[in-house]
Amino acid sequence: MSEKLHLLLVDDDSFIAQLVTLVLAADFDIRHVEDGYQALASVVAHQPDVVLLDMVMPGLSGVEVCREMRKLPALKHTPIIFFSGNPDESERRSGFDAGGDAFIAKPVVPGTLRAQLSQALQDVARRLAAEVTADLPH
Amino acid sequence: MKEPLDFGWRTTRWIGGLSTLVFLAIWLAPDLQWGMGLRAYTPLHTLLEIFAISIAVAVFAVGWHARVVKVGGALSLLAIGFLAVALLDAAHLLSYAGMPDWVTPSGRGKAISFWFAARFAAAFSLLFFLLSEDKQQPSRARIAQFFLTAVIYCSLVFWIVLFHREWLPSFYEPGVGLLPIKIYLEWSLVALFAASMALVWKKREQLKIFDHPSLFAALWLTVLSELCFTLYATTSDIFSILGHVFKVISYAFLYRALVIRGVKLPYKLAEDSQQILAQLTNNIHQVFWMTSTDKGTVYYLSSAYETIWGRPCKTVFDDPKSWMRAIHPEDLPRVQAAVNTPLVGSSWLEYRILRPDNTVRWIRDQAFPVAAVPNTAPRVAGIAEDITEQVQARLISQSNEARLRAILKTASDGIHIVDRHGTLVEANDAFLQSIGYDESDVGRLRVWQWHADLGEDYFHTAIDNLLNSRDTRVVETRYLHRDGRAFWVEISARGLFIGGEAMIYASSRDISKRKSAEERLRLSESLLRQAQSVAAIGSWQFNLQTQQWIWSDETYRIFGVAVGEPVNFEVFLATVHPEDLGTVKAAWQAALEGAPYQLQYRILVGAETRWIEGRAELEFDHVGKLSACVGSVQDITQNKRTELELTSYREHLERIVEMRTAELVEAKEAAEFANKAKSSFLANMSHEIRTPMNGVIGMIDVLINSGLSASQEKMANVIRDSAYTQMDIINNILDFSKIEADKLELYPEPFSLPDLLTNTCKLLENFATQKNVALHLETDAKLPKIVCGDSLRVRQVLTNLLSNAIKFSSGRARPGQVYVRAALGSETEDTVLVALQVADNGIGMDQATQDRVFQKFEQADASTTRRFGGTGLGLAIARRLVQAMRGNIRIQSASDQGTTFIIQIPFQKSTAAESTERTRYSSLGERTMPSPFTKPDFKFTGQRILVAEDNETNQDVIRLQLEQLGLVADIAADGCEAFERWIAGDYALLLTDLHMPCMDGYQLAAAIRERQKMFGRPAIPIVAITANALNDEAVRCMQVGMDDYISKPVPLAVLRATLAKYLLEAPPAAVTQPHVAATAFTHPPAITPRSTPSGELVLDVSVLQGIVGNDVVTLRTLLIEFVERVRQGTEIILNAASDKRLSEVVTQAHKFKSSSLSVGAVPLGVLFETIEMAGKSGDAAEVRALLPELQLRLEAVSNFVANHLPEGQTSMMGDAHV
Repeated sequence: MSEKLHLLLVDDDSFIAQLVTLVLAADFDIRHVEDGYQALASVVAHQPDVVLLDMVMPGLSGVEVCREMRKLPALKHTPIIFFSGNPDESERRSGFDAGGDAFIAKPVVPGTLRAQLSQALQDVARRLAAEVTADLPH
Repeated sequence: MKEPLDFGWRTTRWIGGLSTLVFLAIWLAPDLQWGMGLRAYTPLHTLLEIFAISIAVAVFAVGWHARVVKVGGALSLLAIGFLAVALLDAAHLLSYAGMPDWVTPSGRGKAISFWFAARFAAAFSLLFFLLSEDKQQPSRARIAQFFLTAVIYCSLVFWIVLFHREWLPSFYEPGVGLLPIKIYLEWSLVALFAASMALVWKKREQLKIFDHPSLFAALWLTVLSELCFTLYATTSDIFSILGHVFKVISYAFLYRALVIRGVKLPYKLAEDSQQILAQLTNNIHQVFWMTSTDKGTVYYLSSAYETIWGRPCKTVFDDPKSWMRAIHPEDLPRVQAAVNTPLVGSSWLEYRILRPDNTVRWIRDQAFPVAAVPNTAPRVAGIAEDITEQVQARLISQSNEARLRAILKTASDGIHIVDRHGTLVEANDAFLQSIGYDESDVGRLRVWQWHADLGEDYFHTAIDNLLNSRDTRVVETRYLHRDGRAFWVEISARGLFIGGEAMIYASSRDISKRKSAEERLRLSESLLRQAQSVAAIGSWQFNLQTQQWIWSDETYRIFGVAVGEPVNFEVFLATVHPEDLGTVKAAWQAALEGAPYQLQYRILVGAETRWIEGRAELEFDHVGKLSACVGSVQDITQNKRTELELTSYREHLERIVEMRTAELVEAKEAAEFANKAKSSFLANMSHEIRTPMNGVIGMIDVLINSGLSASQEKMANVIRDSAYTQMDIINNILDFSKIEADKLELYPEPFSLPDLLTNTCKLLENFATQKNVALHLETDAKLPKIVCGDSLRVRQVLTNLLSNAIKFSSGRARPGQVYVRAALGSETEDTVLVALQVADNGIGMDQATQDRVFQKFEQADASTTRRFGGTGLGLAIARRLVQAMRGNIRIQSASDQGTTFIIQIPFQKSTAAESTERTRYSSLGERTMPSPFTKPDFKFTGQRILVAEDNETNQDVIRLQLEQLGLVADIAADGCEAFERWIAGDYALLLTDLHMPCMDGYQLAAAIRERQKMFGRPAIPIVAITANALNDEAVRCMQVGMDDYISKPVPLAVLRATLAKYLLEAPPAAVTQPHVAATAFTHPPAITPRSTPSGELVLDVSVLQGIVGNDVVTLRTLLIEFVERVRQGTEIILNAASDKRLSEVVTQAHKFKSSSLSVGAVPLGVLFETIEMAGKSGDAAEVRALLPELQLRLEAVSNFVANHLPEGQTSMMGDAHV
């Protein structure tokens, strides 16, 4: 594998941040910010490959961050995966409507985080591939 | 000047030398002097003279006809002279002794007379010719004049010699020989000819018509001849003969001199040039022609005409217009028109001709006017050329070019050409559109303006490479659209030479879509790979036909095999745990028979055992035969481990659960429920809940003070009470939640206990009065004045107990009495135990109630709540607080006997001399309801308050509250806006929310304090308002330099009280010192009041006072010196700005910025800073625009110094405002 992918983790809960870093550090370059404003600043400055976004945060919510990101051409296609406590249908819908790609349910448990993230990444990868195929002129 | 055919000096030397030798030999050797008889001599003489006469005639003939030739103009004079010479010589011949008589008898005297006449004529003619040779051509009149002279001279000679011989002297005496007169005349002739020789020698380089060496020779021989005639003794002796021979030879040379140049040479030259012309015209394919201007006469037509026109030249000479008959009918009118137009300068014409063989040729015919020659008709010359090939090529290239242009213009690729300097010289629409420019930019745009990644330097290297290689290069790079957006393009470019200029031809295609797609695909791929890696899923394939295995990288990793190593089933089996080998083999066998599998097994990688979940899917070919297996392997070791752990936990839990009783289950459920309730309580009681309360509490006081009717006021008061109660409840709940969550923190500091008790009672006095309860405070005199503890919490506990006591002792038959007592308990070296008592004579409580009363949500009974209200949290909070302070709380009570709460709190002894009790109003600090009936005993005086608040409701509330207080609110919707307003405006105080977009309250305060410090602005009091009643917020507020802190919701009274501290004129001691860190620019309040809205302070003298003290003389000296230096600096800046020396401007402005701020001339300093910035950014116009303002401000400072620090004054006049 060449370079590690850059992952931006946005979560005001530093425990979760530690956990995610612990579990994923081997596979990703992880940058962690604590709120939505920092998240926006960071995505613009560093253009991460994947964003893990907590839905509920002080200041800007995850959905708002996601919506703002999608307004920027450079971040239109950046995969965004939401963390959410108990994503019910309406919450999931608002996440997807804002431009999110996948959900990972909280609480995060180390044993299952990898599998969840893997699933989410596969979803995103498939979505990207499908999008590209649709975009290309025939 | 030597011309071909000239003899040259060599011949002249030979002839001259030889004849001179002969002459000298004969003269010096008398033996050689012989004579001949006259009879023999006469025929010889006649022969020689006839020869000489013919030559003279010939000279006349040639010379006469040369009169029209410009160069030979003067020759006509010579010719006339020689005609006379011929005539006179003829007369001399006829008169010679021995000749028959002619008119008068022949004789020596007659012959010699004619001889002299002829010689003098020749001598003068030659001399005259040589003198006038280089003059202008003689006019006809002059020629006629000369001719007449010659005729008269000859006539005179003839008349005198023939009829008046007696008038002439005798020249010869037979027997005597020559008479002296003859000799003298001969000598004078010699002199004349010698003069001519000198002239010839002098003019040898200019003589055109004569071959001068020949002429020189002729003259020399003539001289010799004349010398001979001075020597002869008889007319037939050797000297006479020699003289005649020399004369003849001399004439021969004269003739030659004339004919060579005048006749032979022109012929030769003409012939040569004819020949050259013929060679030229025969070998050049253009037709040279020359005609008269009307084309009526053809002077010249070169032979190429025959080839091009296909017609003989003769036809044109015969019929000059015949060339036009060959012209194509379509072009004829055009040609005729051109021919008939008078020619001015050269002009050309292109037309077609039809040749006799019916072919059409294109002709380019160019005509030039010919310089006019005298006596000739004006002429036109020209060159006609067959340009059929060029025209055809041009037509083809024109149509090619048009086609190419059309293709380029409509091509979808961006096609463009740039020259070697990078300038765009050609571009099609697609290209220009793609980068957002139009055709007007062609010729102006440079490569690096539209290339995002190609700089100017790199371009020059790149173009050289491209031109050297001559290959087409294809690169992917990014273009920059005019609007600044970059996009990916694929360019194919190559160097080429157009008209000798090195150029780059490039076609580009927007590939941003493809790029983006590529990038997304790449990302997608790496995400998939990552997904596998993260989940540790590997994949594999097995092709049954080739028996080949393919493993993914992750599969290699899972099985601990080096990536890329050849693998087969055995490699796989080798890793499988021996215990699982059978299962795996069986599953694989089943798979080969068509059954997909999913199973978990262990593998051994080194010493490590890994759990694998393996899957196999099968692929069948079109006849249903198994063709391939694909599968995945996932490392589930971690999951397995977790699963095992979970299992063991579960089992353990189950064992415990089994041991528990049903109550325990119930209790657990209750606990869980409570816990959940608390969590959600905490989560929901966010600061937002306070925001609407702010609207209610903030507005209600405003409403009550807005002039309501009595009944309305009554109703409003009910709302007010309810709102405060509600707020109380919320505060209690929040406090308790915090205590429960162990988030309570204590901030011990020295405070005055007696003051605290007094203040607390005072706060509740109103309430007690309302409730008709008497409040008593009894303080032990032994109590230490200052102790160290969290005064806020102590006050809270007291307030709590007191308000309970007031509540429960009111409304009873006997008047309510509440006692607060403070007593000194035990004392150690550094602690002091204080006992506080709150006793009432209220309803009291029984033992059971006493047991529960400190638990949350408990009051004596349910009816109590209904009667007295409250959350039932007050006592619980009080107890927790006391416990947190390491104290204890007890109750002494019985039903209907009143209640006494006894608190014991150990305080640290304080060494501090005074209290630093916090003066904030937090949710934990106050439990009082400021009375709405307490009318304000003061009113603010319309100061402007800057309010930073993002919530619209709160904006309205605070605006109305401030209006009510007689203040003017200026509301900024966020921190950034507030900061800008603060910079621009002048405010008495800043009220700021803590949580705002853009810049929060902390950042705002920090920014303001920072800037104040930097520019020496007066410190503005900053008061925070927040709904987040957390203690550490207060601390943070103070840390960033705020002065005070108000908790939301903000009761009007609290707002008034707080603002009063900062806005009311009060003696300095009463004004709360701001918590701002002191800076060099903080002003002593007594001397410098905060600047008022009337304007900026021109000069804050206190700044300088702070440095040098209050001595006015020193201040004045320093300030006058300062003003003078700034005046000089301003002068320098003015000059530098007008010379555009911005670096000088920056240096000076920087220097004076610092010194201005140091002396307190803040506006001036700020302006210098602005100028410095403008200078740094290279904006000369901006600098110049600022200069008038600079002078104004400088004058303001100067005036201030003059007005406020006049000579002879020793005290300050005050501050000045602009």
